Amino acid sequence: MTNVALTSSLWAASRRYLTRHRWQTWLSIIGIALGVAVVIAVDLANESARRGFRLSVEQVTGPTTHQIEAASGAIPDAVYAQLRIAHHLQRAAPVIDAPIRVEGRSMTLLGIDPIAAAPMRAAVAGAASGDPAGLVRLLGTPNTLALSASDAQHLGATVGDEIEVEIGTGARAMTIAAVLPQQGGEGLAGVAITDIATAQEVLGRVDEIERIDLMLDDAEAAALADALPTGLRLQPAAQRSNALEQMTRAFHTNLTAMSLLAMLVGGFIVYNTMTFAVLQRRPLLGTLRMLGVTRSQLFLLVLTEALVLALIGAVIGMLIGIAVGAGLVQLVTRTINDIYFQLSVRNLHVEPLSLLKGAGLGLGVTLLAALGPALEAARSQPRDVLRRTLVERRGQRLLPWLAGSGGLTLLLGIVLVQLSGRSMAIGFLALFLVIVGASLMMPLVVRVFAMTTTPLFGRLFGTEGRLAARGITASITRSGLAVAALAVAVAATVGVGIMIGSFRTSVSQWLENTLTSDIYISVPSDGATRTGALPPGLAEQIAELPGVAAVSQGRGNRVQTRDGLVMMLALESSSGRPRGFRFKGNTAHDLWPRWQAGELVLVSEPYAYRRQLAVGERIELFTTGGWRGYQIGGIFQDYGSDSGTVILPRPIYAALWDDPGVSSIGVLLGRDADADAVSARTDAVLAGLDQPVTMQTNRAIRELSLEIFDRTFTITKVLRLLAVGVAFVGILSALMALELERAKDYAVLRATGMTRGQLRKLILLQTSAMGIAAGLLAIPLGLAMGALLIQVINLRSFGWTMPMHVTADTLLAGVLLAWVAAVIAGLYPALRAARAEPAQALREE
Amino acid sequence: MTEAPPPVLAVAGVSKSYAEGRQRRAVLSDVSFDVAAGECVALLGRSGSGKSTLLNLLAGIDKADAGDVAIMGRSVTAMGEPELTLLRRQHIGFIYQFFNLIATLTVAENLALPLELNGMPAGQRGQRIAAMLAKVGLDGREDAFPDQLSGGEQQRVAIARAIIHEPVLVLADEPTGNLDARTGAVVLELLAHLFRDQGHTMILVTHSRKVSEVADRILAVDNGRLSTHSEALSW
Repeated sequence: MTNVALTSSLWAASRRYLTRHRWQTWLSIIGIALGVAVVIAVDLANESARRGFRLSVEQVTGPTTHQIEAASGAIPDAVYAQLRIAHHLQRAAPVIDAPIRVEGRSMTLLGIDPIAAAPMRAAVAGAASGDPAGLVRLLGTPNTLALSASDAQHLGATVGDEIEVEIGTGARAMTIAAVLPQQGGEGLAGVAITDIATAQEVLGRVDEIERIDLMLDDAEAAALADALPTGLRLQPAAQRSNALEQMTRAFHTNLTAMSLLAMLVGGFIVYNTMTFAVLQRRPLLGTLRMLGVTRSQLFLLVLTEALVLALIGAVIGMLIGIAVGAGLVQLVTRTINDIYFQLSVRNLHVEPLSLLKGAGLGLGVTLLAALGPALEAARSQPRDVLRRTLVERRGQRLLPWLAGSGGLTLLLGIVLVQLSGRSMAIGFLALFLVIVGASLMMPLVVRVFAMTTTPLFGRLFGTEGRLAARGITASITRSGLAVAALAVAVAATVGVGIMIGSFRTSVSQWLENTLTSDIYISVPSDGATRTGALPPGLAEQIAELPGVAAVSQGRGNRVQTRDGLVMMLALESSSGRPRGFRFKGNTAHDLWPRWQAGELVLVSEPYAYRRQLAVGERIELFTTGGWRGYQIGGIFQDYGSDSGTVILPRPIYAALWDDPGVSSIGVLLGRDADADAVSARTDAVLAGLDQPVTMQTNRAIRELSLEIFDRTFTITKVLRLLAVGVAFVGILSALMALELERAKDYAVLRATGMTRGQLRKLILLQTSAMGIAAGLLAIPLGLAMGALLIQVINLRSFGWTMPMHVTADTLLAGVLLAWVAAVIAGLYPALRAARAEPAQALREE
Repeated sequence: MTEAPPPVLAVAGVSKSYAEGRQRRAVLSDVSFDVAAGECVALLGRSGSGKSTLLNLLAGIDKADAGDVAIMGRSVTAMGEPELTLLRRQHIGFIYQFFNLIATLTVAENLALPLELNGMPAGQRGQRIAAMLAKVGLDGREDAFPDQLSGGEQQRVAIARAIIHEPVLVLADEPTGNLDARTGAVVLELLAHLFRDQGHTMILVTHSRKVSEVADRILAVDNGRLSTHSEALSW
């Protein structure tokens, strides 16, 4: 009976093969490890950010079941008191929260009524009973706060100390009234608690609260919801946090997809290594078949080898992943802070599931990549003892079929894009199919490239050049794959580079178009639902300054729609209609007069895309007078927020949301005005105010915005580099394999008079040719990836459309990157081959 | 009257040709012969005469266009891949010109492999290997790797590996072809001694008249045809 078990001698033969080819083995392990590490690092960073978010929501909302919010974003104190009495709300507490920074650390300022909140928040109740004096100080002394024991320890501060608290762009000193004991887990770490009155004062929200936290059962909630006055709304506490979490989903998905690219490149390395291992052992496998080893045993042998490499790689990958993840979580958090909301992530949370997912993926990809070589090994015939080049020949015959199936895969990807509507997952699948399809076509293209350039290489570099080019075709099954792996990684660099470049150009143009004023005055934004307001009459005061041609006023607030919160921007310009809009498609008839009259609303492109809205359709907004419908008058280009913005005239907004405040003023200078002089006059006006106000020039805002943009893409660039790193390992591994395989040929060349230098030149020429081929192939694939990223992934993820900007620099940099990576990878094999003693290589079987 | 035992190997009307462009080149034409148990037969022929092709057909690693090869009365031609694998594992031993030892296994492990594949318990394997190494004069070298041995020593390991599981048929392809004359003679003597001693059946493929003389019977292969008169060979 034939069996599939591996005998101890087979194990030993396999183990020793791997240890004897330790360079090859380790490069393969590193390839897997890097792939696993990138996936794990991104997953850990994402999970830590999500966990940080959930934790902060938990800390801020506590065990609240429902929240009452106002359409205007502010509930007057008096309304809270009336509700509490009228509806006998026992477990209800007023809340204001806002992000702050203390000594560079992001925290949340949580303004509560400690007495009302005690029945709902165990931590507050515990602290109150443990330190009644602290509670009294918090309630009775203005400008005080309470910190968790861990935060106090981190800051090296204790009760009575003053700390500098940054709120928006302003700062103020506050006194620590109490230190809350740690109550298991992370307690209230990252939260600074103040009395609600203090929060109102420091956040400039006197006599108003942001929301009312409640603990209600379903029946109580239903009754309360019906009884609330217009302009107030009861919603489940989870709804708000879900909406916020939803905002970052596309961002997290994109990072994950980027990490999977590194894994894909890692898969190429494994395939290359295992194919080489099978090819090199072809005579051995034939001998084993002669001795009675079954096909299944050989299949299992190769898969087991791959599994061992994958296991070691996965373990190393986990460790590297945790280390890289710690750095990545900072980048992820910073990006979320820059473009979504304030988030504090204290440290990397090592989620075992993330480790398992990454390791599992590494094992899966490795086994999948080893499947082909394992099947090839199983197909070994006893007569292969004498036929060393069989696989290569068979592989070469397969190239056209491979290219054909690659073409079909690529086509399938393109068709999927057309048919998949708005699905982001299918968009990524299409991108993956395009990459895989192009990779399958590459070996044939590389072969054609090498064959057609052989005469050129011969003319340029003599015999070494000719041999170098021919060497590529002779081992095309491996050299073609190495080129494909490098080309995919470089194409990713080119594609992502094109996407970022196009995005940056579009954002820069958009900023230029949108920022129509010369000077901007605003209330320091604290990221809260509704910011404080500039003093009434300030706009009129500025408008009268010499040199000022016009002023525009704006108010930002998050308002409720039927499907979540949206940023409302209320605009008013002293010169008539607002300027700086670029509309996508048609606009409604008589747009501006009807908009000024409050009949129409403008919505941003991401908002319209996500909700599949068109001009003429209606959206509903929750105003102080209840739900109110608006017709969409125009869809404007907006890269400011991917969660969407709606725009109404400020007077309409002020009336309907009971919010007459202004949070920003744009100052347009007269044609001949002296900008410095106007700035100085404006400064003088602002200096007389008794609240912090920021003034920035148009240029400063543009520069800051682009700085934030660049910072946002740091993580993408890091991941891109990691993918190139994996590909570098791939090409080094492939070159080492080729060098080993050709050791005898090189020995013959040396024996027939080729100098060490000539041999080095030959190998470096070969790697150069491979690098250039990879660079050239990366251009079309990179362009295709760029187009897919811009027109499919970006659009479906964030709702942004943008024209594709391709610069020669980006493409040239791609070719250069591929060439440099290949040449560096070829250095060691070239030196090694040149150092080898020909006699020894000729002796070795 | 007692019936004669069936031959270990029976070759009947075997032909084989290969495609060369659009034409086919006959390598073997209507070859027939039997080999009795314990007999050593030499297939003598020059390069390209078809003797190695014939050896491949006998081992079932190539398929004849016509005719049949039977080992112990079982048609190799009719066997599927799993059966052929089992047949090779249990009943055939191979000796190659280029040794084909497994470079990553020690001498003892190379010898252990056929025994392991045939399911022999580890305890018995050790004794068998030690005895076999003593027979081929390599005691004390069990932990050496093939690249630490001379050509002659490697071929002795290959011979030991070919017979350690006591196959009914040993196929040797130019066993001295990669050795110098003196070492070749030593290896040949060992081969002859072992086979006479243990009564194995062997097919010995060689281009050397001298080597073929070790066999009980010589079959000359010339232009794909078989002749019992080696003197009639055309070279």
